[in-house]
Amino acid sequence: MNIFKKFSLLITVLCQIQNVAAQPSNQNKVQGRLLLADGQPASYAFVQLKESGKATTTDAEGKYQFLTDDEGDYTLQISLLGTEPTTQSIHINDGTTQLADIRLNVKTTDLADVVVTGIMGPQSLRNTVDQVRLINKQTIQMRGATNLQTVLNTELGIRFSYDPALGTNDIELMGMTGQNVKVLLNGIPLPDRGSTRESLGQIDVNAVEWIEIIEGPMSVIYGSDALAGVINIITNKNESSEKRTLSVAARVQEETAKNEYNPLSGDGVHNQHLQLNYLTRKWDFDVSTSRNNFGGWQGTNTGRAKEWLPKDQWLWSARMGYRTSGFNIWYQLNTANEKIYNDGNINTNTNIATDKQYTSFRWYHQLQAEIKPSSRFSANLAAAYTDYSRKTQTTQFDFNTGRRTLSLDAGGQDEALFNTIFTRGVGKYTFSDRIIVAGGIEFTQNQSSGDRVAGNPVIKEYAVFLAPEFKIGSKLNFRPGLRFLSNSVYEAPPVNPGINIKYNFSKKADLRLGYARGFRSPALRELYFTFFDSNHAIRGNENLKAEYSHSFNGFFNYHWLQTPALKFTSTLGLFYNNFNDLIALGNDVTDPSISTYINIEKFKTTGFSLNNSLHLKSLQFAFGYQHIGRYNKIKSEEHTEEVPSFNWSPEFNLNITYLIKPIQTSINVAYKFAGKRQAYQLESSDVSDITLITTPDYSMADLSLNKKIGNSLVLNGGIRNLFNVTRLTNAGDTGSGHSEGLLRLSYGRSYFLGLAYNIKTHP
Amino acid sequence: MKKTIKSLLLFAFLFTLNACKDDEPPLPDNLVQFETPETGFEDTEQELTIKLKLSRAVDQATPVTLDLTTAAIQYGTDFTTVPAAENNQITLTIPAASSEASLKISKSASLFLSGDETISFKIKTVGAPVLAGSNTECIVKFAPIVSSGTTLQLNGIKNDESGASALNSVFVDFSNNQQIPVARNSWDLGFFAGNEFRVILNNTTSATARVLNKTDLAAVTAADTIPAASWSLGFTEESFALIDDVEGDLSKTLIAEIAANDDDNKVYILNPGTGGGVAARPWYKIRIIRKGSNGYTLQYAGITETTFKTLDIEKDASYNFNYVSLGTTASAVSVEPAKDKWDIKWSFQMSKTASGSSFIPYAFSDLVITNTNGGVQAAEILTESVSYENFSESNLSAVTLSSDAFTIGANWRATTGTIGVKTDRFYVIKDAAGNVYKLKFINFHASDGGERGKPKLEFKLVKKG
Repeated sequence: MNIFKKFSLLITVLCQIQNVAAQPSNQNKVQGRLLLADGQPASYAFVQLKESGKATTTDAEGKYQFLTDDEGDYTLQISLLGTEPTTQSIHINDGTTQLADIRLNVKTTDLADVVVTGIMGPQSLRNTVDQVRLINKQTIQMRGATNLQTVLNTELGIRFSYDPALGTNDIELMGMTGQNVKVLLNGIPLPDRGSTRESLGQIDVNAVEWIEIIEGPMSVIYGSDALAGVINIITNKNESSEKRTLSVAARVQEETAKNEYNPLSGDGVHNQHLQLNYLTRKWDFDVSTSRNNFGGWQGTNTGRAKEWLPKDQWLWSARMGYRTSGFNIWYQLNTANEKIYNDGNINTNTNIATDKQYTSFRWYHQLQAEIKPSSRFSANLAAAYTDYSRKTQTTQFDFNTGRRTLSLDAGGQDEALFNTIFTRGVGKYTFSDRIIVAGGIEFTQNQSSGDRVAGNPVIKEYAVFLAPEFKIGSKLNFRPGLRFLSNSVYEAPPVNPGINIKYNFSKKADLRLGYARGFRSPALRELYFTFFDSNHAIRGNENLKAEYSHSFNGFFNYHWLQTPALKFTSTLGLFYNNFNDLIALGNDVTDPSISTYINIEKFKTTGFSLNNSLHLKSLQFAFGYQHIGRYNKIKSEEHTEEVPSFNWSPEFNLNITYLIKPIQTSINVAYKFAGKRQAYQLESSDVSDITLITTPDYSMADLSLNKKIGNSLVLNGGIRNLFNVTRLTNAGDTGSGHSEGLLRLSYGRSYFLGLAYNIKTHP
Repeated sequence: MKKTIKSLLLFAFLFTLNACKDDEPPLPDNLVQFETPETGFEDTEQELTIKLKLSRAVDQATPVTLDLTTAAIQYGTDFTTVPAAENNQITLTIPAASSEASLKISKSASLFLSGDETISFKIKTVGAPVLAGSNTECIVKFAPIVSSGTTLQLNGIKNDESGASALNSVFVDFSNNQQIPVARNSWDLGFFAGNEFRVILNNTTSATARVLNKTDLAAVTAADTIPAASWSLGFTEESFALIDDVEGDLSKTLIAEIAANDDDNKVYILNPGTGGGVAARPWYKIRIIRKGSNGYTLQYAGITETTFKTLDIEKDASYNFNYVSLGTTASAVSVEPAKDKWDIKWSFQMSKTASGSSFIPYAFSDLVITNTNGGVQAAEILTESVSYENFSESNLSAVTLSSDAFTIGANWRATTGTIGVKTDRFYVIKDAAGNVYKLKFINFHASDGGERGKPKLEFKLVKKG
């Protein structure tokens, strides 16, 4: 019996003592049942009659009953850890009163336990059949992050790569690059212009409430791109307030870029944020803005050129929401305006320098509605429109005359435009406690134009999906799913299955198993790209098929201890992903001098992970280990003997937060060790000639301190990249094309200091 | 209160919908100038074309007026121009969408020259928005000149192709301030005009060929070209077997030395190549035999043709090679200037690159070849030993000139890392007449302020031959 149960029993006993003491005049009986949002029984909830103070707790099946006073109207008050306090008006009759089941809503502020990714709506982390990793707002604030990369960098299985020519980052999840990672904002796909997930760098980290990471494809629900996994970024608080509430949040943070720093602008990182939020019972309004200014980092470059490109980012968001019983609608706009500066060195022959500037505008509109006409049926309707433009401006600055003029170079001026329309309707009907049927329809339209896109193509994709959830006995949850797909351009895989199973051995142990056939539709770029110059002759291929994968994973969770004061959980995970028909550049069969996209590569990843988390009152401690095997792409008939199927690479991470209560200060250490990673590479056209490329291991560690000053101020400071990692040089790499065998990870050990201000008033 | 807050929030909300666009910098000035400041009008020529070049094409027809001054020569009687001069002024019109204008000088038949006559053209006015550039004057001398140096922008662009696959090869004659652009796909075979009987393939279009074990063109059918991939260049070491020696070693041409005994000369299948954005053309079957002691006979036909045609080529020793363009009817074409009339060639051309531990054929732009067959020599000088500005005749003794055609090669520019011309080096060129020039590249790519396909170079006379 755990401490929690003991505590509940104690309350029950105390209540009963109180009942006996009160000696009720009448002996009417009230009984009923409490359920959690997902239909699970709400055990050990505290139930009280407001008028009389009579109280009890629910049993393991969520049932309660008590003897009470005279018949009449009463108010029932219910509270349970992790749920919203609920009150309900009831009428007590003489004799026995059977009340209808009451569902408790999950408490939105207790975010660590609720996940929303998937089809079932908000669910407790423990009950969902998907294995979800959570990063909550507290962690993000604790880390003093000014971008998502800072937070995700120390997660297992996640790496980032930097493109020094464009100044952008791409994510890698489970050994797969960004184009195989689905990034969602409030459950809606966040479109990107190309294969890299630049959008992750264009989200205001100050607005993020929490992040959910799911490894493995959730292709039944989210469709294309989710081969490696899904990252769902939640900015939607979905709050309401009985009292009108106006809150203001402001933040200023300054960081160095290694040893380069200049206050407020120029060298270093400069972050400012302001948010206004107004809540009433039915309405909510929110506007916020953030500025991220990065002065770049010189690194090994000389003159005007910088190894890390300067960047100036303005992020805006606005939200308006309305709710009434059984209905909730909100509109949200996120805009990003980003400028990246790539200044060139001065040509000493002419005293002229050529500079490039990349300007992106993203307008991301979301409209979502939740309808709940009955306790059995709920629906979520979502629509999103993205308007994205990226402009390349090349100019020449003449140091003789001080004049800047546009470059006349053919590729020097370009504006690429992207539009995405997304609509999705999801419905969920609860037939009984044993069967919940959920399904939906989805429509996506992508459109693009620009110098490197042939024509003005439009791609439309239609999908219907169904994912019922069955409960067999009290221990087994079983959710098969199917996604039916049709695409206006390429021949999409018509049926995509997936299945998730959760088995509860006991309160302490549960097992999740999943299979999915993941897929990635060929991107617009792969279908319609056109890029011809002396070094490039690349043409899109309209005859591509989808990439697909068979993904299997299993997670065993063991909750060693689960009390409010002490929680300790271990998770053992295993995964195997087999990717086929991966799209890569190859020679066009009709004209070998032209490169085009073809379905050629195979890839596999496999491995295991062990994650542990320990929550004490003032200490949070999490550590994990992951061992990933990445398939040898060159593994073929000729090399069966010499080359192993997988190259293995370990990762280890550690996250400790300790709260020193007397001085209201928390200390956080986030550490990740990424083991050396090896890959075989063909030395030349001669297939028997292979070399082993080794990317060295590295350690990333951040140390941050958080101190509360009064009620509304938080002082934040720390050190990023304690081990001062900047670049990794691949050993054994001969380098070809763009790969110079050099990976840029960071600009080195940096220091940050910030101040956050929060105030709430009731006007 | 509630209303005020709501409207304030709505206002803030709408405010966020505003985005502002930045002002664009202006386009650079469009400058017009003479292609060269000084040019020689040789005895053997009757006509000379003087070119005015613009930075870029004009949107509308633009007038340029030139002042004409002469010394020891009379307009009208000794020479005329098209367009004609009036009151010592010539008005040229740059047509819309064009980036150059030219005028033609014709000698009168009875002209007797003493050698010190000159004509001078000077840009007087230019229609807006075009402005006059730096070379506003051009002097025409009625004798071969030895240029003291100028800047040249090589015109690699023929139509509107991408600069990295510029269609022209450009031959440069320093002493005559002259550049001669030649389309890379204007020829297919080059017949050596020296002692040996050697034939080269077009290495500026990545042409490939393979020998057949046949000596009769009529006996060659389409079946002999299977598989087609055997004639297509790949990024493999084996592909070297389809092309001439990339270093230009004449003893290693793909087509074997043309034997004196006709029966020893075999049939070759020739794929004219698509390298550097050249349009694909049909393949040919060819066979070359000697014609006497000073010429060749080319037998050629389309792959499926059952009869063949012939073309005789006589060796003209004033050239390195005599060129032929294939087609339904093959014809002799003029490609490279006479061997004493050019010093360097800039072109997209077949070369090689390292791939792993071996080399593969690799064609790329901006290869600069010295005319070693014509007796031109070159050397690379690093500015850490002496700067371009300070380099003078006295430094020549320390320079070792090389007869390697690839002394300049692609060493003068970088296309990865810091893209641009390398400013840490320049070149010394000694032409066949013994004139020594120093040469530096100014720019070649958008990243160094230049234009791909139109490299800009500067040269100065160090020592007159």
